[in-house]
Amino acid sequence: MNRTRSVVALGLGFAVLVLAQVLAEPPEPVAFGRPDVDVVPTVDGADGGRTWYCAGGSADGSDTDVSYVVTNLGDQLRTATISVVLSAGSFQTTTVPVEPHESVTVPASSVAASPTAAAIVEVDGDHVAVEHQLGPAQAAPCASAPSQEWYLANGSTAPGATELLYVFNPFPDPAVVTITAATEGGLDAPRSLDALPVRGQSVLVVDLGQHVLRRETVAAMVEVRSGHVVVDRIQRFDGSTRPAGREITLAASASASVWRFADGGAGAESTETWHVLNPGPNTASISLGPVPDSGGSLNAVDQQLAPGAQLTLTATDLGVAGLTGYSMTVTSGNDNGIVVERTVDGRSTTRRGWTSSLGAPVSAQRWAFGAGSSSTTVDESISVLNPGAQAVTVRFLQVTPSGLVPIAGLDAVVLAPAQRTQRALGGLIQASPLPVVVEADGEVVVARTLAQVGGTGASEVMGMPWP
Amino acid sequence: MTPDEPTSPEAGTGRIGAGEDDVEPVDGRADELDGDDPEADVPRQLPTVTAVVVAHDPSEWFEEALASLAAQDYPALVVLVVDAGSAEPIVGRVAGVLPNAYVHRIDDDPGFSTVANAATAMVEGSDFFLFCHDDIALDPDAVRQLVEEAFRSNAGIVGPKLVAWDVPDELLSVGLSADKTGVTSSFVTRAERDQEQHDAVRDVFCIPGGATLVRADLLRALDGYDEGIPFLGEDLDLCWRAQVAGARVMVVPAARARHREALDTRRPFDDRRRLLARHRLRTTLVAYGWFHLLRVLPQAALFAVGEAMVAVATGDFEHAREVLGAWPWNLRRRGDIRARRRQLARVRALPDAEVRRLQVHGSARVSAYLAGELGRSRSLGQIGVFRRRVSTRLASQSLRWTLVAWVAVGAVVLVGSRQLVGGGLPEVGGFVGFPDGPTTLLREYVNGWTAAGVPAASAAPTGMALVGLAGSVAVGAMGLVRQVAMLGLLPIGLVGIWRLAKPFDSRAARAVTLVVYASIALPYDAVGQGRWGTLVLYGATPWLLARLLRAAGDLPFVPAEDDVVRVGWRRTQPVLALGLVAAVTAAFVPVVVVVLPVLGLALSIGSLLVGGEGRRHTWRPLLYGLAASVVAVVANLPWALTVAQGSGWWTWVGVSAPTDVRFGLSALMRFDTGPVAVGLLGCSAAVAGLLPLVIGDGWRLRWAVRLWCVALAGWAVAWVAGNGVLGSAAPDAALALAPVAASLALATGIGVVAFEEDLRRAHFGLRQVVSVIAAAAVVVGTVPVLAASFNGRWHLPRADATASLSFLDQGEPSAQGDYRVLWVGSARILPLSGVAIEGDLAAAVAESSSPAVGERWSPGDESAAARATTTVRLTADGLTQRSGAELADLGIRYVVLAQRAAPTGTAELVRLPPALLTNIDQQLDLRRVAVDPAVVVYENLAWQAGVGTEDPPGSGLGSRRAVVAVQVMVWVGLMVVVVRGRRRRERRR
Repeated sequence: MNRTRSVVALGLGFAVLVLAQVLAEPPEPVAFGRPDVDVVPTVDGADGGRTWYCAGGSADGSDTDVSYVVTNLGDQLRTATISVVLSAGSFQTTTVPVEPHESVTVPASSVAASPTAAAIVEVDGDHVAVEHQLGPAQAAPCASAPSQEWYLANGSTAPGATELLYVFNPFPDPAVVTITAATEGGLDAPRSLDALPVRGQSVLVVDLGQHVLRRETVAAMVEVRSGHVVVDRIQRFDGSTRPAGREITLAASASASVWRFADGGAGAESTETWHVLNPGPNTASISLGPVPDSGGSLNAVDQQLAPGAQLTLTATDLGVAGLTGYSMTVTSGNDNGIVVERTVDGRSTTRRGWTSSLGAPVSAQRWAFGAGSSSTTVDESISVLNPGAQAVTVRFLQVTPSGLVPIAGLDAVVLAPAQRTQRALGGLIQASPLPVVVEADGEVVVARTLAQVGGTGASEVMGMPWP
Repeated sequence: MTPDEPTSPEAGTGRIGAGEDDVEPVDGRADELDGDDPEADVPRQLPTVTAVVVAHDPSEWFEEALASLAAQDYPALVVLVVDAGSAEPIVGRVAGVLPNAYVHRIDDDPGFSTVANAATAMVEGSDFFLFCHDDIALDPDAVRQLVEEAFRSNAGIVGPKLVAWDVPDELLSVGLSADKTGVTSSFVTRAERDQEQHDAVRDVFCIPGGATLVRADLLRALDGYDEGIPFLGEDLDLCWRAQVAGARVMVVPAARARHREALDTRRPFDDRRRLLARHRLRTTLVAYGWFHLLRVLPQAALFAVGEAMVAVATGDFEHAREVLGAWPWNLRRRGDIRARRRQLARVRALPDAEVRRLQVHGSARVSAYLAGELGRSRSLGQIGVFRRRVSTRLASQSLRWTLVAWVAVGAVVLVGSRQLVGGGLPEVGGFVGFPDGPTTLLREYVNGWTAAGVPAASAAPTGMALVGLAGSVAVGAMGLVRQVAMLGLLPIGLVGIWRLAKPFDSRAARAVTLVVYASIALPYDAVGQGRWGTLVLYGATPWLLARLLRAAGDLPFVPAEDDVVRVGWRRTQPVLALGLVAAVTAAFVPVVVVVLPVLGLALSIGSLLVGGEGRRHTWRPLLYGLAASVVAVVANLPWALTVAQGSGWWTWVGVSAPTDVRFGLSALMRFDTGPVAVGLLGCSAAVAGLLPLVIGDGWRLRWAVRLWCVALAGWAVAWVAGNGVLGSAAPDAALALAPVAASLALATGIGVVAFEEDLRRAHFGLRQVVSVIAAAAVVVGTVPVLAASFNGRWHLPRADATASLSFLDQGEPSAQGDYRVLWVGSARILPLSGVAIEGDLAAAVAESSSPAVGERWSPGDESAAARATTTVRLTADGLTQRSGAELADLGIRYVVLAQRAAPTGTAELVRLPPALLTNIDQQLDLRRVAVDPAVVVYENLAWQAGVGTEDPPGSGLGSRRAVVAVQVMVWVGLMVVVVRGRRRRERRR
């Protein structure tokens, strides 16, 4: 036999192995969908069911009585199971069918009688949006996912104001939360709000005014040490300092480095302020860049925001006083997560009442609103911002039993880059509830404003992305 | 009756002095004779001695032996010769020498003890009995010396100094001692010259049976010889019991007897060894009181196992069988033994502690082995074939290689496993717990459903039946079975490689092969990580390769006379033998049916490369591999079909687990697959294995090339398995490394042969340098394993998760109803086989918190288990918040997310996907239970007692049992074929 031939053959075999090793690609790590919580409530487009968590409100006949608005955006019959928490681990449950393209409003009081009405809304399929509302003009999305951190950039415990935080733990395991506040006086971390236990499947109502006394601006940071919770805010005014009313808001489940607002400009009779919270451990370099509807540009306002601090800027500070309309983009230059709210203290005849809304940390091509109303008592308007560098065409669709129907005159609205538009639906549609879908051929940001006609009450929320 | 006439066939019932006609004086006297025979003209003051000579076909020396009795100067001596079934009656021969002797004939040969007892029953009034073999010649004053000393020392049993028949100045025995287990040891060495150095009268433990003077009253008190010990060991038994009864046992060197030790020529050596082992154990069981028996018996068992292991290691399987066979032999006679114990208890005068004073300390067996005399018995007498063989081996260089290699390897393995052997194996990874008894496994196997996953009627793994059978053989000692089934695979592999290297005809080469195979970190890593499947292949590979190498048809693995074309039965038998080994292996690691043809293909490619002697059989290894795989599949039907229909590799890996652990080529070449720190030294086996490629010629070079082809193929398979080519979750790459390890070890051994054979013809140069490097590689290659052995447990965690989860099986839950536990985690650390979710992430359903061995195999019916995995996937994807409700339908009450194979701090963290951890924490009906963070446990609030835990339907049980019956027949047939083939081969040799 030939030694050389054999050894060479073996060497070649070995070389092939070495070559394979060199050319081998690193393996793909195991990944699953939805590794993170939803930054904003999202209408799930994937297969499978979806659970919504509505933390705030009551079902005891008070002015914070809440209703759940379940909107089926798809074309399949869905069933929603609404479980209202009575006490820890105890639920009262009702099941409602929701026809395709139908919106069903279920008052919490029809399910249970309770001073708190946190609810779990479980839907047996996709394409369903759930909101909760205190009245026709005070609606906000429920949470589509729990989180271990929640932020609100504004709120008030000033005389005449009550800021309630609803900390809802929908899961069997107990949760432990710590609440700190950022006020105009600096960071306030009451010991009474440190390591608060939240029993499994219960809701804890925290009246911030009991812990953070008489502050005009109270931004709240809820850190969950153990477990996962959902946090709502109900801000109520007794009419002594501001028009009486209340508003429900879902807190932000995460901070973000960019927040966009499609609506800006409150008019001369109202007061508009911007609130920025830096919940992170580092100083944030923030920049607020308004873009007026009239075109042109305004100088961005740059600020440094210390960790745990909140910043309040008026329209004057931002140079937008007097503008009838503008959009706002708030960024954190060094990628520090921040939370931004826009507050309008409405005193005009068309918009009377206090609203404070979070911006949109994301953009999407399709947005949905489950609640809403356009009637003789409620005005609804939709604002759309094109944050991109390309023009987009936007369609406004009404959800009707026959499907998603384009709203006349709003089926092809073209928005130039950085342009925004605000469209009142009152002159076009009369419906209550009025679920609306806004879709575009590019990514946009959409917000909804509801205002009581001839009375006090308003709300402003970002839409829910509908992938 | 004349001397020429045979005695009565009913002999044995009469008594001398009782007028029986079956005992007659050889001179024709018909009158009675008793111990006080007046015609003997014996002074009345002398104690009478009856010499009982037990004869059986005595040869020409018999007359000389009788003459020695005739020449005794002790007047009160009566001789009774018992003819134990000699073919030719001996009465005439006795008459010719001892006309006054009495002859009693028995037509058959019931054994020395029975004959002696019968003889003593015939004699009345005798003070002493002198029991003599028919091949012993006493000096004329021997009887007198013995009687005098018996009186002087008040001894119960005395015996003479025994010297060689033909060489009277060569000592055979001056009494014997014995160790606690009854193994005797002589006071003299073999062929020791008699220079009166042992001529002092002294107490001994035992008088060898050639000539033994026993006081008659003592003999009666002891109820004579133990007839359960017909011969070989009866002397030890009598002396031991005499000492228990308070009698002294003494040797009287002044009395001398020449002993021919003719038994060696009458009984085959193996037969004598077997009988000695049995009788020794019987005596031990009878003679000790309960306290000492409980103390000594485990030691005796340990020594027996050790002797058997040494015997197996040296290829003497018969010896091992004989040593171990003594135990069941005595177990079957436990009633008789109890009766003997009761009898002895009645006369017991000394405690065992007193008796033990005359025994030797330690083990006479070990001493005998080290002295090269294992298996020799002073009863066997002369230097037999075996003794010569052992002595020769011991004296030779080659046996030293064997001893050194085995002692070193054994020591390292034992030291490295000491905590596992002594403290038990924790249930980590594949080292699952076995049920308390074998019936559970056998019942599940026969009933055709398994608890693996959600119980379903499907073919149960054959391995369950094998484990169950092993448990039955071990009389239900499932803990022992578990230890052997897991740790025992190490020595099985080592013995296998030792036998595989036998054709090298070089003990140095075999020793090096053994050392290299034992120095590879692969099996120790497998132990350290609880990878049972890898251990199975490590143990099985040498036995699989043995047949494949022979199939290549090249020297030295096929003897020249066997290197012929086989036809018919002869061609089939080796395939079936290989198939049987493959079937057993496949019962635990089914993927072996894929590995085996790959090995065959590699060998065939090697043959193709080298040509030469094996050219005619180039493709035979491949064909053998394929055929054996088919046999293995058939033997594992119908479970094999389930495996084939399983999802991905999950069912193919059996008790192993799929993994997505990536091993680079470097790690594979260094066998760096676990906690044993090998570093660059892991390459040593590969470096040493290169030696025959460089210096070998002839068959050495041919086999080196073939074995390197196997090694390369193994590496290639391991690399392919470990790099996603076979899918994200592939068989453990380490499984393919076992053939690599065996090939490199063999190649290194061949290198040693080449060094001995080929290098002597070469001039000094590169070859010598390479040889030195290879030798150094072998030496340094042992360092990692040596270092790891100090750990004492090969880094296997000290505890397992069962303690943390034991609360699941206790108290309230079980009171509320049956439930199941869903395990989720990397297949590498799950204690049971699961169904793939993604990568090597698996979900598995167990019947309790501590999965049983049956759950190591992938469930046959995956449909139900797949439901659980679907729920897990939905949970991980965040698409459900009510996974508990879905799992409740399967009776699942607890969900266990495994992050470590053992409690925190004792095992590496294998991270679970963050999305899974996040989303399962957000389930509305799962409540977390606080336990060791090695596992994350949730209680399913939606679980309801009685839902989802119903037993599977029993329909089809009859047909299942028929299938089992067929399968049993297949296995029995295979084993019969293999055993018969082996016997034929041995006969041919």
